Amino acid sequence: MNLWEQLSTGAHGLADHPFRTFLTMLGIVFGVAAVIAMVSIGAGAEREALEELKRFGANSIRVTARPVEGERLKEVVKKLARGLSVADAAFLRANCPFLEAVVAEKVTAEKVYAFGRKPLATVVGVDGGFLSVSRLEVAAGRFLTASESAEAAQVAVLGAGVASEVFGAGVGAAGNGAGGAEDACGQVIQVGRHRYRVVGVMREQTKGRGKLAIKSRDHDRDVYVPLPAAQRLIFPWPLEDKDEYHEVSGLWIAVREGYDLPAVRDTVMRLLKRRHREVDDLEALVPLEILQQSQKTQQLFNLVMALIAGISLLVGGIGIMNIMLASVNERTREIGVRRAMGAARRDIVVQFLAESSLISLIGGALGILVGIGLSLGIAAYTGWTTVIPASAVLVAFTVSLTVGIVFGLFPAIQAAKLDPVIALRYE
Amino acid sequence: MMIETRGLHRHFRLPGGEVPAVDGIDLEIRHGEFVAIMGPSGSGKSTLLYVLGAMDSPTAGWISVAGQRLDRMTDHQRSRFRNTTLGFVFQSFHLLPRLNLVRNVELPLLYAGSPGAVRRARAGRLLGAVGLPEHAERFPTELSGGQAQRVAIARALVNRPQVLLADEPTGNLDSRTGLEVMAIFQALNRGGMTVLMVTHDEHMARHAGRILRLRDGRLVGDETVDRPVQAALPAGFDLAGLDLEAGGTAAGAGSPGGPDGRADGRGDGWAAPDGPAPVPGKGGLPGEGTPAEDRGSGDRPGDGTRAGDGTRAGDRPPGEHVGTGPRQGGGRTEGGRS
Repeated sequence: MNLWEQLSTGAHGLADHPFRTFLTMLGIVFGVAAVIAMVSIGAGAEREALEELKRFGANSIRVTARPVEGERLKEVVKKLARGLSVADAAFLRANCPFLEAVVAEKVTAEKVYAFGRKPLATVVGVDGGFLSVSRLEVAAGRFLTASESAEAAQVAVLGAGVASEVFGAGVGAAGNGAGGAEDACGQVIQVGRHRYRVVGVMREQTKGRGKLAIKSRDHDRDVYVPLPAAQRLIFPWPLEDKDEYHEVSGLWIAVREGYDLPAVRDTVMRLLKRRHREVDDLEALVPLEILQQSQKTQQLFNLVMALIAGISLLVGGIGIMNIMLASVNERTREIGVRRAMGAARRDIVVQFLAESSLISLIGGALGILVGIGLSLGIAAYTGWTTVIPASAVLVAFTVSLTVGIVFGLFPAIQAAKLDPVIALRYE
Repeated sequence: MMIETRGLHRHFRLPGGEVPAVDGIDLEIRHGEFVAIMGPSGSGKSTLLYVLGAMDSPTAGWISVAGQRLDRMTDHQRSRFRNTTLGFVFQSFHLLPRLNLVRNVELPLLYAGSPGAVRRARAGRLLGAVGLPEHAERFPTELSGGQAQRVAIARALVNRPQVLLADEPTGNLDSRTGLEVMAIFQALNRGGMTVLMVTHDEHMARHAGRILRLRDGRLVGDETVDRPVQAALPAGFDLAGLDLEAGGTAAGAGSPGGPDGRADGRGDGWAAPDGPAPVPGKGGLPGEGTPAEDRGSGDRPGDGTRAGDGTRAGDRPPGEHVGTGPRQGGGRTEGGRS
């Protein structure tokens, strides 16, 4: 009796109770669907993390100035402490061979006016070298040159969001809007009380979904100006304003390859703290570390999901076993007849295994479809990235077949172990 | 000897102690005998039948069927043996209700590993031979009891067994259809089939050539029926159509494979009665079917499909061979097997 005949015999057995078979199948359908959905979320998170890493760079450290205010400000001023400064950046550049680049930025509260509009924008003063360290790209025109930075020239580069708000939608968007962005170049906008010429527009940033714990401002809303120009914008100077303790608001640091990022961060922070007279006024952030942290969280999440999917498959398998035991029981006489006609124990085992495998295989196939639907639904509803790898489909199929065989084995063996004479007389 | 036992025991272990269902039976049944086993309920007659039928194994004793030592077989070997050598007929027919009749009849062939087309052809042919040619796609629930038992007989014969075992085959039938079953058994037996039948109906038992009586698991009577009652074959029954000769497969159902070694177990060829059934309408009363009349159908020279060797089943008076017919095939069977 070949496999095909066994399967067709099994199909006959299942067709006797279509509704019961369907209900049993549902257990496997949901189990497999859960596996598929779980894997797709995990794979999606993985892909997102890789993209995020690409965005921030695997070798970057961000140092951010922490506001110092009130009584504490008075205290630190007494110590003659100065906040984060251009000099700090220069010091690091000069003394730390393991750093590839150190770029300072000054985030100001200045307002931007252009063509009668007041776009939502953050005026940021940056050093030369910002472009490469930040991994941002220019869509049209050019970025600030080193000489412009040094001379505090009154030129600006607009973030894509600001440019499109002022000069029309689509500016700075990847692939199109070059014309609009070109239009923006050469125009004059007002920053605070000064007039700046626009020399370039940034490319729209690929947005993270906010699922990862890296905080960053929306760079599409940035307006970049030379750092000295930004410092000049701030007037009068200095005040006992919390903003003015720090000369610059942050450093973008790129570390050379082969150095341990957390160790470099600790060194940099120690150096800076010493220069700041042991005032604790900075914080440092390593995107890679945060990503690794979030990946650990994701792994835990995946584990829990796998557990849930596994439990639902287990429940599905128990359902199969339950139904197969009932089936063996109600077909005791059939087993006796088949045995009398010459069916060996093995034939009976295979017959019932064929039935349970059919349930789980068909259930598995349906489950894969439901799982794909579920994964698309999750992506649409939560905005998470979900990816269904081909391997997941293969694994789900294998797992469901295994469940069918494993949970069908016990009832099948029970059936084969029946005494043929007693089975024949069973009423 | 087709069936031989020595000191056969089958004890059941029950909470109340051991129950000897079969308690030391010595038995010899020759090839081509039609034996009825009788006894009150609980006498162990069914247990004996199932032990002889390789469905159950003895707790002690020696047992040989068709030259095979059953008491030494593994479960798998017994399954193969049931499949190739034995045919079973039951009181309540035991057709599988979810399968149509062709699928029911082909069941033994399924486990024999025959290809689908061959199975279908052979099963269809047997359904025709037992008089139900139009019923292939019907289901068992659509049949009368007599029809169901004929389908069950077709199923028992589909793999060309050497011994037919019947457990109360007429128990669920009215007396008329019961007699039809007896007639079929007699026809098969005349063709050389060894038939073993458990019954508690004395009249049915009188159709056999020999009656064994059991009480409390022991053999208490072994009677040769001098003149078995002859029953009339039902209309449409075609013994030749059953094509039971092992070598006949190639010509019959078109299946591959020739003699499979079983032919030597049967000394005599199947006398295919190409005329009407041997004694239609005559065998209703005891003693009326005489050996002379029986001889009529099978005795014509050259009418057999294969080379007759002069010992066709039809030659022998129905009662004569039992225990007394040394020229019968039993001796040759033993010679061929052992």
